[in-house]
Amino acid sequence: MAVVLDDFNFETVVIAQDLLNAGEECTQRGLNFTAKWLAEMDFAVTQKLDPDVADSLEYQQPKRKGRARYILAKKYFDVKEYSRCAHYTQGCKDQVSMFLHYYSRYMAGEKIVVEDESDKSSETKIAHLKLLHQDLGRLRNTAQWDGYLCYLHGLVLRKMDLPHALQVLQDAVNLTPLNWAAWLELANLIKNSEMLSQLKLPDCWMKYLFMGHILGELHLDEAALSLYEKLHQGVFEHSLYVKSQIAKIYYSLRDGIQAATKFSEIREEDPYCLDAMDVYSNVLYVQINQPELAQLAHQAFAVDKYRVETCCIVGNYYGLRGQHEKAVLYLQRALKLNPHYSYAWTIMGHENIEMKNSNAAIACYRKATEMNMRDFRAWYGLGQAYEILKMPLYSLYYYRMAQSLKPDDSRMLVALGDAYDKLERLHDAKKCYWKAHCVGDLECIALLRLAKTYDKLKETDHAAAAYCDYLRDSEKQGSGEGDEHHGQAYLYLASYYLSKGPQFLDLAREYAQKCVEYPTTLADGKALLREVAQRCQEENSRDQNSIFHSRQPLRRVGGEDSLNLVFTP
Amino acid sequence: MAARDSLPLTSFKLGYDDRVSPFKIAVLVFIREYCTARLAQLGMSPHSYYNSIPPFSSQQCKDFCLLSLELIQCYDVTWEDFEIILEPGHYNLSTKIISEFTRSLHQIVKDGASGLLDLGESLEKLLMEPAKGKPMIRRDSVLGIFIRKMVLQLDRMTFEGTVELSSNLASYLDKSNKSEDPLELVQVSRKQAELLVSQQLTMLQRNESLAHSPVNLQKIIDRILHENKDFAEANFLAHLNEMRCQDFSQAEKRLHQSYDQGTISIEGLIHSKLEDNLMNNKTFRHASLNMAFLHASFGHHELAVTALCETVALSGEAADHTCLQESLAWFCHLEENPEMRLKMMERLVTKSSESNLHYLASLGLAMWTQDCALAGVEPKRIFEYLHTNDVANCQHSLTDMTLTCLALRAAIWSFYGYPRNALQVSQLLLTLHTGDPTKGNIYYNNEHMHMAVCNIALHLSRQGRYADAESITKFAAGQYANFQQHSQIWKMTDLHVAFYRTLWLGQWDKAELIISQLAVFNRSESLAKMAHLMLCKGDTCQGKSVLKTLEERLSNDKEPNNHRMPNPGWRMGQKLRLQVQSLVLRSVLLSARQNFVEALLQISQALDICKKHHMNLQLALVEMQSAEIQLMMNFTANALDLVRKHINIIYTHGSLFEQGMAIFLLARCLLAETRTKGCNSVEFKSKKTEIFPLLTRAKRIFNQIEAFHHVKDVVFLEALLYNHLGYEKERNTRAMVFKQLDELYPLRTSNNIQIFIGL
Repeated sequence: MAVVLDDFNFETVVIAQDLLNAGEECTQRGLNFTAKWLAEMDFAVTQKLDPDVADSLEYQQPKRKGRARYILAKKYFDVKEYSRCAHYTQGCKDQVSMFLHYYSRYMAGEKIVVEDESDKSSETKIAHLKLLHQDLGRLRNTAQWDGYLCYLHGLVLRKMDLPHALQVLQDAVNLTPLNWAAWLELANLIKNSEMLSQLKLPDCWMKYLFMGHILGELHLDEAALSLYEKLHQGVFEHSLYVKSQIAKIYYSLRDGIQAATKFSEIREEDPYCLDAMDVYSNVLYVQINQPELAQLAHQAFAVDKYRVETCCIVGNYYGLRGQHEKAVLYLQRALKLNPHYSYAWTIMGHENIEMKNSNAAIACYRKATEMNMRDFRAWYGLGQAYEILKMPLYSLYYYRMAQSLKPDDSRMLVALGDAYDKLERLHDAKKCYWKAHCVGDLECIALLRLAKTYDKLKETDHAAAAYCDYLRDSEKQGSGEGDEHHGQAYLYLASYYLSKGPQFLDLAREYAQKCVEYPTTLADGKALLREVAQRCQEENSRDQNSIFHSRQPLRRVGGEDSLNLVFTP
Repeated sequence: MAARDSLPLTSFKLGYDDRVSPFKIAVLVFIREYCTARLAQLGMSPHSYYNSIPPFSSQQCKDFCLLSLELIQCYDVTWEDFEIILEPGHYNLSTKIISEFTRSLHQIVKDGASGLLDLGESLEKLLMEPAKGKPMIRRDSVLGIFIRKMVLQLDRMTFEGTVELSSNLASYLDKSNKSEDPLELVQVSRKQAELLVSQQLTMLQRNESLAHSPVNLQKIIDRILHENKDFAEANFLAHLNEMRCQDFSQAEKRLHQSYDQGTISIEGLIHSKLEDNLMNNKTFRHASLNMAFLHASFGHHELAVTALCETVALSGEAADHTCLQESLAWFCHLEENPEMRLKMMERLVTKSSESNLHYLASLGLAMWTQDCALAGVEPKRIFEYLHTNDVANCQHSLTDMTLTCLALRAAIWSFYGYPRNALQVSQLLLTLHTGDPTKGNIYYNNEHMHMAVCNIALHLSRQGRYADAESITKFAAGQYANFQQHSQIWKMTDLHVAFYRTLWLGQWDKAELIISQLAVFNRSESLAKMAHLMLCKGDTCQGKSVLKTLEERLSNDKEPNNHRMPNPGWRMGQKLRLQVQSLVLRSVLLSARQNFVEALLQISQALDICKKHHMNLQLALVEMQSAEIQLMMNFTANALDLVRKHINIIYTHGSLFEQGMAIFLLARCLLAETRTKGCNSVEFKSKKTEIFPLLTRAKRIFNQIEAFHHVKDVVFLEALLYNHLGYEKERNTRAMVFKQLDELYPLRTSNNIQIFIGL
C-alpha cells in the first residue's frame, strides 16, 4: 500500500491546534463522540508539547449572530430533546445552527427507530432520512454548505444504501479533514484496496490515521502495523487509540502475546476504558487465559453492564468456561443492545458450533457476514459449519471467500486444502497446503497434510520429503501435541526407506525405533523393526552368498593358478 | 426438476404477521362502505345517504366480491392505481359507493387516530349486525377472516402505532408527494411477498412467459429483500432468476444465501430460547441437491456428481427416500455410459414406484423409454412403455409428466420416420387442457410446448408452406423470448429450415453464414451441414476435411445434450442421424471420385444403423442414395428395383423435397433402363408417356418448395429428352426456361450427384 510515512512532517503544535479547533467545532455541533475522540487525541498530543506552549494554544471563537437561540437549542440537544432543538434552529442561516438543526432532526428520527425497532416497517424507518436527503440536497451549492453538512448528507445516504454516498463522504473529508466521523463513515464504504487507491484524499495528518484504520479493516495487517508503529513512535506516543489499534492488529496477525501486553498496558493507564476491550477478551480467549479474562469481565461489568463490549466479554468468559448456554445468553443481550454488532454474531456462531447446533451457527455467521462483508472469521465459520454437516462443496465456497479476504493466512489455506481433499481434488489440495506452508504455518499442519496428500497421489518421494520437513520444523518449534502425528510420520518414513532398498535399511531401522516411542504406533513400529531385522539378515546371508559365489570362481581361478603353478613351475 | 418442492424451509415467524398498511385501511373502508350501502338497501339499517341508491344488480355484487378478493390478495398498490382500479370499466361498481368511499377515507385522515379506532369498531359491527345469527359478513368467510385479522391488529396497536398509521395514511392519500419509482412507495408485507414469490416460482416452472422479465423480477426481489432481509424463498427465487440469465457466480451466491437463511429464524436467535432452534437437515439435503442442479445446468459435470454424492450421503444418513431417488434421477441424467444409465433408470423406476414417488417413477420411465428407443429396442415395446407411462400419469394427475411423455412420443415418432404421427401428437400436446384451477389456472407453456410448436413449424416447412411456418416461428419468438433457457429451440429450427432453403436456391454464401450461426448452438449439426454444402459446391477437398472432423467428433462425442432428457424434440437421436448423414455424405464424396465400391460400403453401414434403430424413413432415403450411386455405376436394374421398393415410404412420410428427389430418380432410372435395354425409338416413345409425367411432377414439387437449383436439373433433362425425340418446339421452351432460371440462380458447381439429405 502506498502509504509512505517519511513525508509525515506535521509539527506537533499544528496537530495540537488542529485537534483543539476540531474538538470545539464538533462540540458546538453536537458531534459528541467525535469530540470525545478528538479530545483523547488532543490529550495525547499535548503531552508531547512543552507545557507553556500547550497552555498558549486556544480556540478562536468566531463571531456569531443569534447567540441566545443557539445556546438554547444546544442545551435542548444536550438533554436529548432533539425535536425541540430542531424547532428552535429552524430557518437559521448560521452554519453551526444549521448543522445542529439537521443533525437534531436526524437524531430525532434515529431515536424513534431505535426505541421501537420491531414495531416499524422499514418504510417508516427511512422516512425521516428521505426528508433530510431532500433538504440537504437543496442546500448543496449554497454559501452555507460546509464539510459538516456534507458529512451529514453522506451519513444519510449511507443509511439509505444509496450509491453516491461514497462520493459525498469523500467530498466531506476533503472539505473538513478534521472531522473523524466522516473518515469513519467513509471507511465503512470501502470494500477493497482498489477502491481505496481510487480515493482522492486531502493531504492532512488525519489521513494517516484513516489509512491505518482502513488497512486494518482490509486485513492488510503488515502495512497497517508499520504505519501505526511509526505514528506511535512519533506524535501519538501517548495515544491510547493508536495503542489499541496496534493491539488489534497484533491480534489479527495472531501474535497473541504482543496483543495482550498492549491491551494490558492500556488497561493500566485507563482502567475504565471499554473501547476495544471485546478484542482483548478474544485475545484472552484464544490464549486460554481464564483468570485475566475473569478479571476483565468483572471490571467491565462494574464499569457499565449495558455496553455491548461488556456483554461480549462476559460471553467470551462463559464460552471459555464451557458454559455455552450462558455465553449465548449474554451475546443475545449484546445483540439486543446493538443488532448491528457483527462481532457478537460471529462469536455467537462459534458458541453454536460448540453446542453442535450447526443450523443456528450458520444463521449467525451469515448475519455477521451481512453486517460486515470483510469478517473472514464468519466466512470461515460458515465453512466449518457446513463441514460438520458433511457438505464439503458448500464449505469449499465459504473457505474460498475467507481465503480471498485473508490470502496469507495459513489457517484459511489449510481449511481450503482440507475441503479440496474431501472432494478428492487432490492436486488443488496440494497447492493449498504448499501455499499454506510457504506463507508461514504456525502449527505445522500444512506440511503434514501436504505429505498425506502426496501419499494419496502416490508421489512417495515427495511425501517422504514433506514428512522429513514436517518433523524438522515441528521439532524446531517444539510443539508437544503433534506426538501422534510424529509417530505416523516416523512410521511412514520407516516403511518408505524399507521399500527403498537395502542401502536404506539403517535409516528405516532408525525411524522404526522412533515409532516405538509413540503409543499409537508402538505395534506397527515393532513389526517394522522385525521386518527390518529380517531384511538385514537376508541381506547379510545374501552378502555372504554373494561373497561365496564371487569367491568360488576366484578360488577356481586360484586353483587353476595353483594348478598351473603346480604344473608349470 | 430440483426446483420442485425443494425450496428452503419457510423462515416464517410468529408475530410477524400482516401489518396494517394504509392500503389495507383503504380496502377495509371500501368493504365497510359497500356493506353499509347493502344493509341500507336491504332495509336493515337506516342510513340516510344510501337509501336513495337503487339496489345493486347481481353483476355489481359479483364484481364487488371479485374485486375485494383481489384487493385482499394483491400486494399494496399506490393510491393512484387504486383509483384506476375503481374507475368504471374495470369493475361494475356504483359510483356513489366510490365517492362515499373516498370521502370517508379522507374523513378518517382528518380525524386522526380516533378515525382509525372508530373504523375498527364499525368493522366489528359488520360481523355481528343486523342480527347475531345472520350477520352481513360471515365470520368464517374470506372477508370475515381478513376483517377479523385486521381488527385484531388495530386492537393490538399501541397509541403511537395508531398515530403513525394515521400519518402514513395521510401521506398515502397525498398525491403531490410521490416519487417516480412506483416500486419504492409500495409496501410489501410478509404474506404478500410470500404470495408473490410463490406465484413467480410457479410461473417460472410452468409458463415462463407469464413471469416477470429477469430484470424486473430482480428489482422486485431486491425490494422484497430490502424489507425482509432473511426471506429465504425470495433469495431462492433470485437464484432461479440468475439461472435464467446464466449468471453462475450470482446464482451460486444466491443459493448459498437462501439456504443459510432458510434453516432458522434469525429473530428467534436473539429473542427465543435455544430449544426453538432445532436441527432440520432436510433443508441441507435439498441445498446439496440444488447445488448439483446448479452445476449440472452449467455443464460442470464432475462438480455436479460430487454434490450428488454429498446429497446421497446426507439423505442416506437420514433415510430420506425422496431425496435419494431425486439424486438417482440426477445421476441418470449425468451418466455418460448408456448401459449404466439403463441399469440406474431401472432401479429408479422400481424404487420410486415402491416409495410412491410417482413423479420420479414417471420421469424415470420416460428417460428409460427414450434410452431404449435410442438403443434400438423394438418399437412395439417402446410404445408399450409409453402407454404404461401415460396411464400412470393420468392416474396420479401428473400434468407436467403428461406433457413430457407426449413430447417424447412425438420425438419417437419422428425418430422412427413418421413425421405425420409426430405432428398429430404435437397438436394433441398443444391442445391439452393443462391449467390447474387450484394453482391459479396457469397453463403450461414450457419447453415441451415450445418443442411442439417447433415441430409444427418444421412440418409446414417440409410441406413447402414457408409463409405459415414463418408465422409460427414468429409466434414462438414472441412467446419464448431471448432470456428463456430454451429459446434456442426455435432459433435452431429456424436456422435448420433457412439452411436448406438457401441451399436449394444455390445461395452458397448465405448458407455458410447460417452454418456459422448454427455452430453457436450445435457444433456437430453445423459440421454436417458444412460438409453437405461443400459437396454441393463440388469442393471435395474441403468437404473431406470437414467430414473427417465430424466423424471424429461423433466417434468421441461428449456433447452434453446428446442423450439427455430435456431434449426429445425433432433432434432426438441426433447422433444417430448425424452418423447416417456423415456416412451418406462420405459415400457421395467417394462416388464423386469414382470410388463406387467404397461408397457402397459406406451406404451399407448407414443402412445397418437405420435398420438397427428402426429409422424407416431414413432407411428409405439411404436406399435412394444407394440407387443413385448404382445408377451412376450403370447398375440400372438394381437401382430401379431399389427405388420401386422404397418409394412408397417416401410418398407417405417424406417431405416434398424427398418426394421430388425420389421421383426424379425414378424417372432417371426408367430412362437409363431404356438405354441399357437398347430400346428402339418406338419403344422409347411408349416409355416417354411414363417418364414425362414423372418429370413434370418432380418439377412441380421443386417449384413449390422453391428448390430452383433442382428445377434446373429437371428442365435440363427434359430438354435433352425432347431433343432426342426430335420435339424441337418443346425442347426450345425448356431450354428457354433453363436459361431464365440460370440467369436468376447462377450455379457454380461441378457436382452432378444428387444428395438425399434435406428438410
